Amino acid sequence: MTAPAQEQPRLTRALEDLAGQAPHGSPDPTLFARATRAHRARRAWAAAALVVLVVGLGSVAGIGALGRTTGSMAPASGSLDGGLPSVVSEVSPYLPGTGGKPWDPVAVLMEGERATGIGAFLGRTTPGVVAVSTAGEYRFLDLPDDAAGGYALSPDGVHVAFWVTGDPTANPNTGEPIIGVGVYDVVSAATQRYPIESAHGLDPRALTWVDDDRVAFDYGAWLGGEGDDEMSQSTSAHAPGTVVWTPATGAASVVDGFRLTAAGAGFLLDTSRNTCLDLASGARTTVRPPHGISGAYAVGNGCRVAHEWRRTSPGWPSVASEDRTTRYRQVARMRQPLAVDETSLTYWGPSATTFGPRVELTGYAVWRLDLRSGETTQVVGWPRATYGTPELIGLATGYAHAPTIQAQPPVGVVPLPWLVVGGVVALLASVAVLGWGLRRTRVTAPGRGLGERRG
Amino acid sequence: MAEVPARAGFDDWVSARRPALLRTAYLLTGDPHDAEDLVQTALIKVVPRWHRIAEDPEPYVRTVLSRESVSRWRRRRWREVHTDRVPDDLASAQHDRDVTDREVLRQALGELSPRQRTIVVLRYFDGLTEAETAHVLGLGLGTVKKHGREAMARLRDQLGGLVEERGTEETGRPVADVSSR
Repeated sequence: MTAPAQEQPRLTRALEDLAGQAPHGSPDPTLFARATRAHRARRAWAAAALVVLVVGLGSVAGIGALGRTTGSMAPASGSLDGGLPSVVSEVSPYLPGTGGKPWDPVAVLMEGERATGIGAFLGRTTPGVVAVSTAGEYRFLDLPDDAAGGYALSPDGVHVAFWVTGDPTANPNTGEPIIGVGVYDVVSAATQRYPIESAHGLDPRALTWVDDDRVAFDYGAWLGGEGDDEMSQSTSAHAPGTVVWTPATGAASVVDGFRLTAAGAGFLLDTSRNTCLDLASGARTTVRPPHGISGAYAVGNGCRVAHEWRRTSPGWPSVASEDRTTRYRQVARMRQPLAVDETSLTYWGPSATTFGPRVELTGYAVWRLDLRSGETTQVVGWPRATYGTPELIGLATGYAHAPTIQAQPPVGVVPLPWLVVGGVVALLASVAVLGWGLRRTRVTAPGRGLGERRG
Repeated sequence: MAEVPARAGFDDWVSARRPALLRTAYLLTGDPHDAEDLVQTALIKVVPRWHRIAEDPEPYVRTVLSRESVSRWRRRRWREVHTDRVPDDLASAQHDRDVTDREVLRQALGELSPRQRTIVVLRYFDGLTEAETAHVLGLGLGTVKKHGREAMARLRDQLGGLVEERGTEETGRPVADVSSR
């Protein structure tokens, strides 16, 4: 075999001759230190970029998993029909909505700040309605655009009643005048409306469910609209009576001269006239609430009326009732020093129990009061919320005697838009940091740029 | 504190071998400044591994130098224009007796692709076999042979009798010791 130099002796000699023109500069004495620093810096940049990359990928990957996971609750006693959750949790403003699609019956309705649209990416929120289904799932309840508040949940949790906005026949009294009542069927996602003709819009007063099928409401009609005199703008004429409407059939009747205070179990209560009306028989019962009481009322159990009784001392409320033969009397007294919300009494059940939310140091809760023993039992609890306790809007009282659902915090309420943006930004940043860091260490470490020529 | 003896060994080795590295680098780049850059870059890259190669750093440094020469061209080719045509000044230079043979060789080497140029330098200046050249460049032996044949053919066209008509089959050990260059 022949050595390369022997193969091309003239080329080898020419190369050696040319190599003699190579520079003869002295070595850089700091080269080792600079190279060591550059190597360390490069490793640090690579590690930092790797961390950012992992975080970015983790965020992006986790979003999908969290987004797909919805709140899950297991029935505590194997109930197949669901029930009230034992605890409700604060939800993220980015919680998904029902989207106007059929859903499960609602167990709890409460207030919640919601981030929607472009503003969601900027953290802007608007008041929304959070629904917890009887299966324990959380969603913002997407109601029709003309829903204007006054939400009332039917006892079976299937329907939500509300006042609707629209155009009156003349100049409106407010920017968004009320022109009737709507009922949204959560299960079928259908909406029924009961329009009420008025010149300037309605003055909503009371809206509540008589039972699972009938909704009762009371209203006034504004006497003037924008541009009219102040007196007529601020005055409303009371309607001829209370309307009882069955959305499923469209049937409606007016109880003449009745001013609705509360309703339940087929009864209407008019505290201005001390009257309780049995819608089935038409029988009217006189009730006489004590003087000086302005609490909330719950009607049921044969026109027994429960309301907040006298507060003998701060924090010691009680509940009284009256049937058709007796005056109001105190039937139970809460043993715990509670500060009961004045609008607390929401249900008067057949087994002489009632519900009422209360505010205490640890949060908000719905309690069941045993009228015979006075014992209270927490039914639905609210943990302390980050930005204020969400107010209860409605409770599916038809589930009052069903076992509560063992509640878990809603999973998947992460701020999805922010995480999506954050994850992508982190991902891009990691790539940019990695590239920039490597380039920086490569270019600056030798002491002069690779392509930089000496003058 | 193993860095101190490592640094001392590195500095000693660089002082002794830098001129040889610069000569090889000059043939690879054709420019004295690029040659210094190439050597410095290669040395910076070997520092993190110095404690492992300190016993015999030459093969590793040569490998880094050769591969960096090719990769530097890849990184910089976007701003360099390559042409297969011999520049007019080179063509005229070949007929200008005032231009030395080494300048003709330098420009002829510059007309080769970086990989071809590196193979020529490793084979006929550093005295490596084709197998050793393939190992240094991380290429297959067939690739080295192919590029070597093409390089020699082009050099033969441009340099005439300086390049002899011989095969490029596998050869034995180089006669000259690389470390002596």
